[in-house]
Amino acid sequence: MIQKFAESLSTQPYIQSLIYGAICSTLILGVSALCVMSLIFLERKVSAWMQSRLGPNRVGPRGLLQMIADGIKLIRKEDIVHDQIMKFLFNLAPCIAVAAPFAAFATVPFADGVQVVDFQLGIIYVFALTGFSVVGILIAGYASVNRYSLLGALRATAQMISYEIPMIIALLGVLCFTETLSLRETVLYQQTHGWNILYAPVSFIIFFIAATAECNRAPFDLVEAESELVAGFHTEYAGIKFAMFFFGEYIAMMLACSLTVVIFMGGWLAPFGFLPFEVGSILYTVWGLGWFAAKVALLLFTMMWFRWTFPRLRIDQLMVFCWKVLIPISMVNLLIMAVISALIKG
Amino acid sequence: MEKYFKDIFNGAIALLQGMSITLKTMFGVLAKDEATTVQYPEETLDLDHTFGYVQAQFDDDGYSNCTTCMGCIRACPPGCITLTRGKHPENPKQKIAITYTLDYAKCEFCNLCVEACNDDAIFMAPIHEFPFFDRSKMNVEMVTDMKKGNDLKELSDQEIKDMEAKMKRLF
Amino acid sequence: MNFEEKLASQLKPEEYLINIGPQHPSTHGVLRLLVTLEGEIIKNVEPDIGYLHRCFEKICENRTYPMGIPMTDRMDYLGAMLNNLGYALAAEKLGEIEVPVRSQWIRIIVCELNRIASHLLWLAAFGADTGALTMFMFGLRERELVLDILEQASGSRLTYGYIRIGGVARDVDKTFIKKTNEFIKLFPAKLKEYETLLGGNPIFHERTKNVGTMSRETALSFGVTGPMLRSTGLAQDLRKNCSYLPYDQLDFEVASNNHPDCYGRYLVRMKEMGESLKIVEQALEKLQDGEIMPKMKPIFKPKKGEAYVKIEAPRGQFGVYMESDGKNKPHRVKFRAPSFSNLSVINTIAKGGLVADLIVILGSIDIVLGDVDR
Ligand code: SF4
Ligand code: SF4
Repeated sequence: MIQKFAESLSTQPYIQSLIYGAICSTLILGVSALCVMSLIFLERKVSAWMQSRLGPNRVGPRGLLQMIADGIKLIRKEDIVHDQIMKFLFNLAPCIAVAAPFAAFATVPFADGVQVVDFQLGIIYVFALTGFSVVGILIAGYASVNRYSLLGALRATAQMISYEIPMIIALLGVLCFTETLSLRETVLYQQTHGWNILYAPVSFIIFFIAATAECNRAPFDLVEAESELVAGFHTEYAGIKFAMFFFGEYIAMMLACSLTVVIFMGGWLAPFGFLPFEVGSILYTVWGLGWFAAKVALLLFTMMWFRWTFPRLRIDQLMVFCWKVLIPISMVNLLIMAVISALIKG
Repeated sequence: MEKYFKDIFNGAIALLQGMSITLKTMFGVLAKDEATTVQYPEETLDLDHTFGYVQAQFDDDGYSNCTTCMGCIRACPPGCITLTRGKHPENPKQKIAITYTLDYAKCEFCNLCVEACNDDAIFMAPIHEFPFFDRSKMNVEMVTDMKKGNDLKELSDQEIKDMEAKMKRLF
Repeated sequence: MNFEEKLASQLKPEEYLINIGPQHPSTHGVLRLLVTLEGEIIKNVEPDIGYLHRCFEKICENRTYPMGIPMTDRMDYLGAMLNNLGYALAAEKLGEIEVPVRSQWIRIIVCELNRIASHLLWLAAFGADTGALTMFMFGLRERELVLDILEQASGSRLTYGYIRIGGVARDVDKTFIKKTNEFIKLFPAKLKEYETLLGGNPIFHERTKNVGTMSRETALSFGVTGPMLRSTGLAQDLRKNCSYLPYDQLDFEVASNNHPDCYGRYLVRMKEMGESLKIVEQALEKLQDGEIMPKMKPIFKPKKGEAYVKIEAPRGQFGVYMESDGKNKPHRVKFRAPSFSNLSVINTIAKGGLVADLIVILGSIDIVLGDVDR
C-alpha cells in the first residue's frame, strides 16, 4: 500500500524508495514509541503487582498518563554533564543505542505483507544490527570519563558478544529445517510445517535466555547493576539522552521478543493453524497483527517476570553460564538437529 | 556429567518455584485485592494510637493545668520547652503558665516531659499529621492556641475532649 | 596529604581507585569505601567512616541518666529497643535497681520483635544488593507488621525510647498481645516464602556461597560478633552465655553453622528470626500482671562506680560502659558498637573478590552507619 503510494508520487525509483523509507520509519517510530511507553507502564505495573503493590495510579485514569508525565519530565530536564566528557562521542552514543535496534525492525514481518523490506538475508541483517548496539554502549561508557560507566560498558561488551554465540548456534539448528535466512519465509515455513518451537524446544529456550542477556535484562543486567555500578554506562546521562538509552533498551527488548516469535512461535500465525479469514484480506492482516502482538506480549511478560524474581548474576558467573552451559548445550543441540534434518530430508 | 545435568535441572526447578511466588503475589493483588499498599491521603491505616506524636497541653476550664513546676523543662533532653509564669486570674495565689511554647524542630517525642509532669498538664496527643512548611512556625504556642481552639490542625473541642479522656486513662 | 591522595599515590599502573559512597545505592547509609581495583578484582578496600558522627557519647555525658535513652535510639536505629535495653541495664547496674518481673518479660518480647524487624530489613536490603528487588518489598512488608506491634507498645515506629531505667515506659495492652499473636501465626509461612523466593534460588547460591569467607580466627581477632561470628561455627550468643534478662527460662537454640560466608550469614539470620519468634511466643505465655516500674527516687543519682553491660543486639555484641561520679549525670559513657567491629573486617574478607562481591559482603555484614559512627 505504502509502496503504491510512493510510486504514485514519483517515477524515479530512488525517490520512490526514499519516500517509502521515510513513511515506514515514521510509522515504526511512532508505533514503537507508543509500544515502549505502554511497555514501561506495564513493567511498572507488573513489578508492582509482583511485589504486592499497586503501581502508578495517580496520573490520569488508572495512572495511564504516568508515562506521558514522565516523558515530559525527562525531556524538560536540565542536561547536567561534567566538563571532562568527550562531547561528540557523548552525544553520539544514545543515538546509536536507539538507531541500531530500531533499524533492525525493518525486516521483521509483523503480519502477512506488513513488513518494510523482505531481505533474503534478514536474519544476518538483524544480528549485525544488534551487535552494533554494543558500540553505542561502549562509546557511552568511554566518553563519560567515569569509572563506573567504563566498568559498565566493558561488562556490556563482554556480555553481549558472548551471548551472541549461543543465540546464533541455537538458531542454526532451526535453520537446518527452514533453510532460509529470510524472516518472512521462516514464518511461511512454519505455516506448512507447524511452529518451530515444537521441533526445537531446546533451541527456543537457549535463544530466549540469550536474547534476554543480549538486551541486558535481569538477571543479566550487570551492565547497569544499580546496586554496584550506580547506573552503569549511563551514569553520566540525564534528561533526554538518558531517555534515549531507556527507549533503546526497550526497543531492543521488543526486537528480541519479536525475533523469538517470528523464528520459533510462528510469527503472525494463529495456533493450531486456526484460520478464520481468507489469506490476503485486510481482516487476515489485522488478525495476524493481533496474534503477533499477543505472542510478543507474552514473551515480554516473561522477561519482566524474570526480572522481578531473580537476583543478578556476577560477571564471571555470567560468562561461565554462557560458555559452559549455553554454548555446549546449543552445540549438541545443533548436532542433533542437523542429523535429524539430514535424515528427514535424505 | 550426571552432576552437570542434575545441577541444571534442579536449578531450573528452583527458579520456577521462585517464579511461582511472584506470580502468586501478582494474582493475589489482581484477583483478590491483596495489595499491601495503602492509598495514603484517601485511606489511612486504622491505627490504635495509644501514644501519639504531638505533645499538647491540658486545658482545664480555659486555663492551663500547669503549675509551672519546671519539671518538664528539666526532663526535656533537647530543651525545647519554654514557659512564662503568671497568676491565675480568679485565684491569684495559684500560679499557671501563661505561655507554654514547644519547639517541634527540636522535640524528640521521647515522652520524658509527660512522665515528669505530676499535674497532668501535658500529654501526647494521638496525631500523626502535622507537617510544617516553615521553620519559624515550628515554635508552637500551646496554651493560647488551645484556647482559641485552632491548635494542632484545628481539632474540634469534642476531639480534644476525646483525646483527654483517652490520655487520662493511660497515664 | 589526605587519605585519598595517599591511596592514589600508591597505585600500581594497572590499578585504579574507585570511590563507592558516601552517596551510593548500596552502602546502607553514608559509608564511603575507597576501593583499589585491578579490572574488576578488588585489591584493597579502605572504609572511610565518620559521616554520621553525632558525638552521642559526649552528649550522654552532658545529660541526666534518663535523658540518655532517646540518644541510644538514634545510634543503631534499626535495633533501637536493644540499644535502650543496653543503656537501661547499665544504669540499673550502677543504681542497683531491681526490675519488676513483668517489665523483664515485656523487654524480652519487644527486643525479640525488634530483632526480627532488624533482620527483616537486613534480608530486604540483602535481596536488593544481590539484585532481587522483589525480596526487598517482601521484607519490608512483614517488617511493617512488626513495627505496628512495636508502635502499639511504644508509640513510635523507629526510635522507640521505650525501655526506661527501671522498667518500661508503659504497660502493653490487649491489642498488643493480640497483634503479636497474629504475627506469630503468620510469620512462619512468610519465612518459608522467603526461603523459596531467595534462599532456594541457584543464582542466589552462586552469588553468596564462598563469597567473603572468613575464618574463625579472623573473626575473633577483629572482634567480629553476632551472626557473622556464629556463621563461623562458634555458637556464641550473649542471650545464652551471659543471661541478662530471664532468657535462661526460655527454650531456644543459638543459630550457628559452618558456612563462614555470605550464605552462612543468611542462614544464621533466617534461623534467628525463627528462634526469636519462639522466644516471643514463650515470653507471651509467661507474661503476668504486675508492676512495670519499681519505686524509684524522682532524680536518679547512682553511687560512685562503674558498670559494663553487654547484650546481644541484632548485629552483635552491644556494650555499654558507664561511669558515675555520684552526680545525676554520668561521668563517662562509652558504647561498644557491633557494626563498627564488624565493618573493620571488610578489607580482609573482600580482597581478591569482584566488585559485585564487595556489595554482597557489605550487605551480609549488616552495618548500620548510625551505629558505626555514633
Ligand atoms: S517529648 Fe521529649 S523532647 Fe519533646 S518536649 Fe517532651 S521531653 Fe522534650
Ligand atoms: S507542664 Fe507539668 S511538669 Fe511542666 S511545668 Fe507545667 S506542671 Fe510542671
